[in-house]
Amino acid sequence: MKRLLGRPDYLCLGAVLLAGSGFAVPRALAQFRIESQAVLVDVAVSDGGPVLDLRKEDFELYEAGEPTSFQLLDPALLPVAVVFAMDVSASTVGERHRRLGEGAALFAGGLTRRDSCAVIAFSMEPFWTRDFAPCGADVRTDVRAEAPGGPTSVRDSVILSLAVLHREEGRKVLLLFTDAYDNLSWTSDDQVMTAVRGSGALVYSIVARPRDSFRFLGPSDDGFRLIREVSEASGGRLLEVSADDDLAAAYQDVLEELRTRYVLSFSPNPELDGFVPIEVRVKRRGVDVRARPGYVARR
Amino acid sequence: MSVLPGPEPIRGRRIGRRRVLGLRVPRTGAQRSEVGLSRYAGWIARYRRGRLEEVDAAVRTSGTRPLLSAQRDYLDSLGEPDTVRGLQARLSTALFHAELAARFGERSERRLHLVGEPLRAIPARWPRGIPADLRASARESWGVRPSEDLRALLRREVFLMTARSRLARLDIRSARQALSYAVQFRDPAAEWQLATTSAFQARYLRDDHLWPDARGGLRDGVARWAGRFPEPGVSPRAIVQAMADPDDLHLRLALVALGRGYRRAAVRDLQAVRDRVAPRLRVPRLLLEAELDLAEGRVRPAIDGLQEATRTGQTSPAAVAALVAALQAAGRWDEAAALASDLLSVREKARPWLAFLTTWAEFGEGLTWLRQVAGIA
Repeated sequence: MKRLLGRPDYLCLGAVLLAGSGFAVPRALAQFRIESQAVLVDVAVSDGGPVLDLRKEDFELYEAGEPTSFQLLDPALLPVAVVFAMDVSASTVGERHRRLGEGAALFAGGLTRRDSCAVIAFSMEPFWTRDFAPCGADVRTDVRAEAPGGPTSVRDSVILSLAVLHREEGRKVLLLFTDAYDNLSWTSDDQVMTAVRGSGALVYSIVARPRDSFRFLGPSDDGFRLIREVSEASGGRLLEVSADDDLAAAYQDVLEELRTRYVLSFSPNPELDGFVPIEVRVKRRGVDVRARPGYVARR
Repeated sequence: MSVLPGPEPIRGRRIGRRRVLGLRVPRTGAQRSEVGLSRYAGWIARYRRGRLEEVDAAVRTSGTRPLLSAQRDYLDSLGEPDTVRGLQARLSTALFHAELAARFGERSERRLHLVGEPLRAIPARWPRGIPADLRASARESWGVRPSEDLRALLRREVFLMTARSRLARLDIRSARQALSYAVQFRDPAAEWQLATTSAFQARYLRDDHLWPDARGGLRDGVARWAGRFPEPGVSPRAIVQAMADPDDLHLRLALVALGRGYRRAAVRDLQAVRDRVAPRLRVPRLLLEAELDLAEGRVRPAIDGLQEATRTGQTSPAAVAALVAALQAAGRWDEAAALASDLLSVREKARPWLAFLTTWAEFGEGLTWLRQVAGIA
């Protein structure tokens, strides 16, 4: 398999599509051939619950405002690379940290050994507790391997997580857990958004507000807003958790949504450069469509 | 003897149901106020004998209000404050709480009252009986005016120490609170430290309203220092060293200007920095120059500068994160991925940029002198 240097949005899929994955999506799929350079668009369609019976002809894809041809891929044939980015700062210690491990293990257990999982813990600085390896429930120990504590560098950690996801093949997912309180990042909001737009990764954020004992941190509304924007700009979403007991359910929700998303693939217009807006439409009334709003093209 | 079945008592006490089930026992009002005068006095006595660690847990689990109450009773029981013994007892009490916070960690702002209360009763004039060499060292080391006002001097030193211990843990807001107690006498070193903390808070906690404070504090602090201190090298060492270094000041002002979006001012300050800066300032300089380049759309020079920053051998996560972000913006994702992966594999890293932004001196810098004044071994 060959990777195209400097083009995070383009994948050379080839033989990967012959392999199977644990994601079983009950929907009819067209036969397809993947071109060597393709942009993947991960799409969630819901009408209160996930809509599972869409066919290729139900979708329309617009690139820079113009309709473009695309293929509907079977997500079951695409490997999934997941980075669990875990806020282990002082505000997440104790029971919350234990629940985090359980949630991550639940999520990873729902993937297959063909999918790859990595864990990045961050407080004062981000670091691996697990490099990319086949997923499994052992992710729990990787999440809980480090003693939590200290301040938090959310922005820097998101940027670094998206960078390492670039190396992986197939669908890329950043699963961020944080209390949204960043007090130690050097990078800016704009740089985080630039990274998200260029990465092609889905970002799901599970946000638990600081606990009572960390009220001194003050409001984290700015951090919350940024994380919401980051998630939505990737086609993912933010899930807010009010109690530690709900953490596992949030991970389960993300897993379920990931299983029921559609994946569109198209060849980008080589004449375009910079951020190219894309829009996915579904020819069905009353459905909510969520997908990345564009990709970054480089001539 | 009870006939009811239940767990065996430990040392004659019956174990409660909540304890058997591992439940936290809620504190009652009576329990929270259980500190008491004699217990508090015992803690101070043990501290004065160098056994601080023995009392840490007890103080930590006591509420602030009961502690304040016990402290008030204890202070009332002391002799007159304008005697050597009265001064030493009160200073010991303040140092007790300052050292506890520094050694074992403490972030509550309310607990700063425990440091401040004992100092309020200390008179402005030195009591007779304090050795002349201690008074002389205060005059030489801490400037001119503060040494004439004993209460102001002690207050400043104790709170500076407290602030630094909190800065070292990056408890920025509580450090600011401690510094606010230290600067009320317009002391240049404390004011300068507060300004650097404001810059840190504005930068990292995105408290943008503090940028003007940071700028004003930096300029005022340096101006006051220039007018009062005859030569660099006086204590607090790290602060004065930085204040005496114009490159340091210009870099800090550039940081503030960039934070406020004043690019022209940032250009002026960065141009004023000498070509050969002190080693501790190299990474901050490269980071700030790169930030200016990025703000003005010069991505390639920014990447070059950040690559130089990450090659210095004192690679900071901030420099790597900034470089990764710049590479991503330039579409050089493979390089960004390799760099990020390398950084994530390394655990312990030098962080020169943190020292630059906060510039805290060692907690113990003034401690020896303070202990000598307090008569603590």
